[in-house]
Amino acid sequence: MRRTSRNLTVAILALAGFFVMGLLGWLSPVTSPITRALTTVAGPFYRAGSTFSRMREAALYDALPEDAMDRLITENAKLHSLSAENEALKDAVDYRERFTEDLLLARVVSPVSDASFFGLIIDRGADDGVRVGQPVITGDGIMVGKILSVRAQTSAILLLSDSRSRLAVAVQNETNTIGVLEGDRGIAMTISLVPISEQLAPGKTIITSGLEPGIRRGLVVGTIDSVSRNAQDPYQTAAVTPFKSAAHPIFVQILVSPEFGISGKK
Amino acid sequence: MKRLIPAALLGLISGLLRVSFFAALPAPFAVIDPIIFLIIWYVADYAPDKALAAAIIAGASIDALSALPFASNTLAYAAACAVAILLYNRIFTSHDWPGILVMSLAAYSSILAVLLLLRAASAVLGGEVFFEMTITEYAPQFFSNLLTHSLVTIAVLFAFSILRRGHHRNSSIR
Repeated sequence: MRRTSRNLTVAILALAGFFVMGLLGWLSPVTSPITRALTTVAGPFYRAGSTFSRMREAALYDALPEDAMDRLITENAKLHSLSAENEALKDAVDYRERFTEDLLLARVVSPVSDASFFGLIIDRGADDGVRVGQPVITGDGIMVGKILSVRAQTSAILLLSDSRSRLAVAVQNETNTIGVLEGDRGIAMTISLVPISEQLAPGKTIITSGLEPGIRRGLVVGTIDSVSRNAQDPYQTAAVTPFKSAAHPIFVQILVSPEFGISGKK
Repeated sequence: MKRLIPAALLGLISGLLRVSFFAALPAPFAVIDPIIFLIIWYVADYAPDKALAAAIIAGASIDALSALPFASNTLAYAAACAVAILLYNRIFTSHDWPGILVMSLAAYSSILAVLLLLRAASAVLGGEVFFEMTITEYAPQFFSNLLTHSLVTIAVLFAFSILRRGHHRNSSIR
């Protein structure tokens, strides 16, 4: 009993020391190779769990061909923004290439399992050029979140549905209404404080507005599910539904823009 | 030292399953934590050193795939192990259901509490951006996870007792 107590005390004190060293970043040379090995093993585990979640959701919500539907909406949104952009570019004399970022493919190895935020852990980190704030997409341009924190071999993505997430977006309507998309406890997304004069309607596609540094216009975010208006309120709020195909991504792509510096913050 | 290797391997597998497989499952399955069951199994089997080895390796494997500073989860699982050992040696000295259930809940609560404390410490010392969580946000999650974990523990104990009864029956037939 006394030996066990001594072992426990020594272990906990040593681990507290490791925690402080980890906080200071001193353990990175030791942990990086271990992390690299574990991400390789963890990938298939995550894929199995994620596949089970998808199957369960498909069974619960009447399996529509959601991937095909998402693809069509994404393509439609892209065509809309490309067409508008083409017109603008034709008019611009000082045309220059706007999309200069590279895509970096990453594998999701774990959803964030503690209660601090809603996110994903991916197997790419600072060594691969990942920086804080870079947008993360899945499939053919559906934005799922932004890079929240970076380690040497791994990074954490903050999902758009997290309460701390904010994203400059535009609605694909006649007036190209702009607003800020906010997450809500990992379960919903809303665009609030939109003037009542703007035309918001269920089914309209939400894309990134391009007003946020490092995130170009035209990345698809979701569709408007419902709009709530109050007769005495000069503003309206739209609830946004994300695409189902982005719910449990196995692979994601990071838009590695040169606008993001080495320091990790813009 | 050699006798700790199987426990460490089981800890590694449980850690990877916890962080990658179970966490990706929909609720309430996402709360299932095989590491706690492994720790309690070893503690109830009078092998506290094996429980500690499994807890440390499992925690370290979670830390490798987490956004928290390294050793946060390792420390949390080691603390859970210490709580389970203390309860088993001082209060629940037999293998009865209520004792195992309370040990499991106490271990799980201590993990949540230690992680919360470490997140607060990181916020103060390291200035991480994602630890600004208010108590009104955290408390409902804490209690909901605790309730789900207690139901999972009861389910595991029930399944275990059925398996054991079946095993005894087979043994007596032979």
